Amino acid sequence: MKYTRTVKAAALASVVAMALAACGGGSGNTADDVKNATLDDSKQVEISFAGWSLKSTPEFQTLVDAFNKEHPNVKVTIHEYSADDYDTQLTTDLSGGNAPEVFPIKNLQKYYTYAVDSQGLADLTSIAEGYKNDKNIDISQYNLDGKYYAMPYRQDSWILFYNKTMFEKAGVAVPDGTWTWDDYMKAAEELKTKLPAAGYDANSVYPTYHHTSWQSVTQSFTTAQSAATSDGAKKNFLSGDYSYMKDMYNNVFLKAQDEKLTVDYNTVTSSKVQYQAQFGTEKAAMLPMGSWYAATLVSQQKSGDANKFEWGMAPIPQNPNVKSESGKPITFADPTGLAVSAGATGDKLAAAVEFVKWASGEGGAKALAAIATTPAYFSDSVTDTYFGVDGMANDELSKKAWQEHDTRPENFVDKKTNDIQEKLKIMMSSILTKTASVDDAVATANKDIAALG
Amino acid sequence: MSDVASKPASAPARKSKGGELTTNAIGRRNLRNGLLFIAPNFIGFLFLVLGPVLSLFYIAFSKWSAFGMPKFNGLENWARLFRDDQFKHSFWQTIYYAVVHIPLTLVIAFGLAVILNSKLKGKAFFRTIAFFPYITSIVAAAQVWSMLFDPNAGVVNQFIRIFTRGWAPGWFSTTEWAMPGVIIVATWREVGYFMILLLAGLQTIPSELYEAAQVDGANGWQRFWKITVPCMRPTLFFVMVTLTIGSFKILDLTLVMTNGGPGDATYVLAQYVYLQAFTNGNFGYSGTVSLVLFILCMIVTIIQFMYNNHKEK
Amino acid sequence: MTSVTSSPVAVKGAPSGSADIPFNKQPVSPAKIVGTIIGYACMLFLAVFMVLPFVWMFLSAVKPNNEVYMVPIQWFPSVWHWENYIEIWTKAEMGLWTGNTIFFAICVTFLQVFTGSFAAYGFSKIQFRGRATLFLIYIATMAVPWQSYMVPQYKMLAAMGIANTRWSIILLQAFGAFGVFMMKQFYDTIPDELSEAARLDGLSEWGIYRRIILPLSGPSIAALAIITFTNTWNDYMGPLIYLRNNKLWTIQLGLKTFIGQYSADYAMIMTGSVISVIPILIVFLIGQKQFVEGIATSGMKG
Repeated sequence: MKYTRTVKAAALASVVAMALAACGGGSGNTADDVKNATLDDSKQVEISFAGWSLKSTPEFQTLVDAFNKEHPNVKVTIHEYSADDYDTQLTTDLSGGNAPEVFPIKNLQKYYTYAVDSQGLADLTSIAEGYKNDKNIDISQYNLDGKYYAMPYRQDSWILFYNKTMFEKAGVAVPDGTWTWDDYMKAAEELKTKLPAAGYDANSVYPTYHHTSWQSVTQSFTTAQSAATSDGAKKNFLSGDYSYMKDMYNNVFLKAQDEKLTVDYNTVTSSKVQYQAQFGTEKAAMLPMGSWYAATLVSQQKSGDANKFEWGMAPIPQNPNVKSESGKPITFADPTGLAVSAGATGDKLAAAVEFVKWASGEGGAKALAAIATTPAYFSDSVTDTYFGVDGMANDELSKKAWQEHDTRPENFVDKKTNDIQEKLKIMMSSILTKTASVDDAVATANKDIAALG
Repeated sequence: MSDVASKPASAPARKSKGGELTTNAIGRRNLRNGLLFIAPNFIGFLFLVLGPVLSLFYIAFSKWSAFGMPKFNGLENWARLFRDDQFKHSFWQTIYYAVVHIPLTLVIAFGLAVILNSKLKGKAFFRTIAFFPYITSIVAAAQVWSMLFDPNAGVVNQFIRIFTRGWAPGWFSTTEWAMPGVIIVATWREVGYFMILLLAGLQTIPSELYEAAQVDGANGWQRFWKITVPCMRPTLFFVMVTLTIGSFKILDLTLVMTNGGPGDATYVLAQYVYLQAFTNGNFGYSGTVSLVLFILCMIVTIIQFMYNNHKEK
Repeated sequence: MTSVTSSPVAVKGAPSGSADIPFNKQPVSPAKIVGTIIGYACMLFLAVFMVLPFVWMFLSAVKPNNEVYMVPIQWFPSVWHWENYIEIWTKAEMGLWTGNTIFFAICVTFLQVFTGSFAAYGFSKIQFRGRATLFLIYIATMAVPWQSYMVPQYKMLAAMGIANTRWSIILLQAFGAFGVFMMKQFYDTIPDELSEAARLDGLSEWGIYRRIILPLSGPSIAALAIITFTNTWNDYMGPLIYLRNNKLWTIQLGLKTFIGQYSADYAMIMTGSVISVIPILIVFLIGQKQFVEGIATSGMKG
């Protein structure tokens, strides 16, 4: 019996060890490897590239096709991931040490974990140096103590979409680019009274739509607009005191829902309201949303999923008490970046680095702008390409709203960010369902976040 | 009647047969045979399930971000548990859910199985209907139920108001009523599933037992308690254990219906496990919470196990 | 032990007679008829609640996409897009996904039922040292949430080169504790006298399993098959973690391609979900035929 017991114990131990030790990451490439990697255009190289929902997200194929025109020797194979659960898949990939050579970093929320903990991302600081004095691209959001592990290829920003046709029928003045949140609320109230007279159904048509399924809709505007600089906003976000959010909840988000200026939180979350449907079928005259929606709206108006109406983009309403140092309207959004696997070596590494460099630069930007996707590199010719898309709004204010903004991260890069976001989500839910008063919910969040240490 | 109740399987006389030596030989033969039968499943089970599961017992005492090797950190994670209000909150929410959901589902599923095992006309139809919730997409289920539970316009509240002079619960928009709402939907979803298991169990009861009981003049209720329940004990044990474990591990439904809200009213342990692991990258701490969940399940399972053994004797 | 307890062994092929549990009293009084009607009315009423979400799913499948999640809810489409049912096969790879899913579901169900019932026999009918402990270990693994050990599991399979192959899904699902536990409990209801007697008659263990136990386990195998098939069919997380090659995708994973980062084609997802229910229904209808009251031991030779 003793013998069998030892055998059993040994067998179990080895199985456990196997499960645990199955190698992760492996030996990674270094910053110098990346710097010295040069792509030999005469050699055939094949690299893999992760993308999600390829049918509804043409950007990945577009990038690959345009890149192939310049580097026909590089074959880029796209692996299709899930848009919803991309991070779960990428986590297991990195953990098992079999991530593709190039993969997107969907937002900043997990960037810190990937970059610092996983050791699975190549150090791209050498690419970053090339953008040092380039005003057309902002890479600061990926800066981790002077090192960069990803390069942005898309930089959306939150703006205000509005339905010109509805505004005009109701006889309400359209946004002029100087709106504060008070102006926004006044316009919404005016629309509330005038829309029914213009023939819109009073029960189902709202002046605006706040997509409160996402916590960013309420809190990220507030945080972004809480300080003159991005660093100041980050400090507020990490401060542990969220009293600065009270005014916006009281005067805008809660008020809009009480006055029935937007669909309320309960309905939004429980019936999975789609913002595309609300704005696209003229159930809302305004919509604060990320600039990515422009592409969707253009294609839905073409396909008939959205009604035909005149629309425009305006800068997001501002906090009158805080002005950006740059003088541009303050808004938020995370960049979407591309990272290179630390496991890539030799020609594959060279090809992967070249691909990321190209995609984040003007070449990739033009290809993306041509399919109405907002790139991270905003040169004048990129802007012209973007607004040249058929069906795109192209008045001056729309162009200005799209191009000029001081965009702060939705998820500030810090190891406490995820925990804070989670508590703030609970806070938002408590406030908007009115299960707690604004003061109580903020107090609870402050206390819970303090307890995290 | 009590004779009928005793389990037909027990035949104590046979077991203590043969002398010392043969017992030993039988013991060895049985061990070999037993292992042979178990082997095809056990080999797969050992490598694919047991190994990874056991690694959790190390991970739960480590700091780990899913990358590289876990770093042992002793009781640090466990100390954190005691400071963690969200953990405590989700712990009690999970208990709340389980305590209501388990008996509710068991009673309804059992009743359904008994009714749909009788000579009812169209029982194949009703069985299929009862299984439908389990195979309907959870997203569709969440959508329709939130509509039915709408505090103002929902059918459920319109019905309740008939009896309460206008008062009705706020369901998913209030902290008090969100959990009952989730429990109702979960029960709706799972009764068909457990009904299948119980139906299969009901097939094992010889109809002669009922005939004999009828001759003895037992009524339907007595027959249920004196024949159906005792004969079903092994099946019931299985259903109870899987139902308990399933309830403690509830996740998809709360995620889709309420995402833990409003506030954190329906935040359960499994959601916290997932959050800590895949959103926050604290696989070590997430493992600790899993282990708590595991211990919770095992305590209840072992109680059931002992109760079951006691009843079978 | 009275005659009643031993009857299952003694009686053979007796007409199962009128085992009457509710709904089944023989003398028909008017009150009974009214009761039956009310009973049926209640059942039908409940049935409506059971299928309501499915009906919504069915109707949403033929809606224009923006009407699926409309506020206030709209039951019927403004335009009926029946062509969705054709487009999902032509524009998406529904055929491929269905084929893969059928393959996985059948392999896993077969393995789970086969190895599960085999092991269950060992646990239930053979007295050997340590079986209670081993069995408890089986049950215990069910109590661990999968999301907390799926990464170690993935690392292991990835190191063995099995991740992203058909094998990964089959191996992952086929050896769970569920089947063993369930079959063992059902075998426990079969009187030990049967196997003991056969053993005395010199039948080998395999013979007992094959000729006595297996013929009696129709209903439990049916139940296990229905449930394993359904769970494998509807599994999302397993394929999500293990399958990167879109040639291997299952329906659940494939339908997710209709969800983009910021928008989704819900009508198509509902179309796919409706289609995906049909094979499960077929398996269910075949399986549930095994649930015929009172066949258990009376149909068997003593």
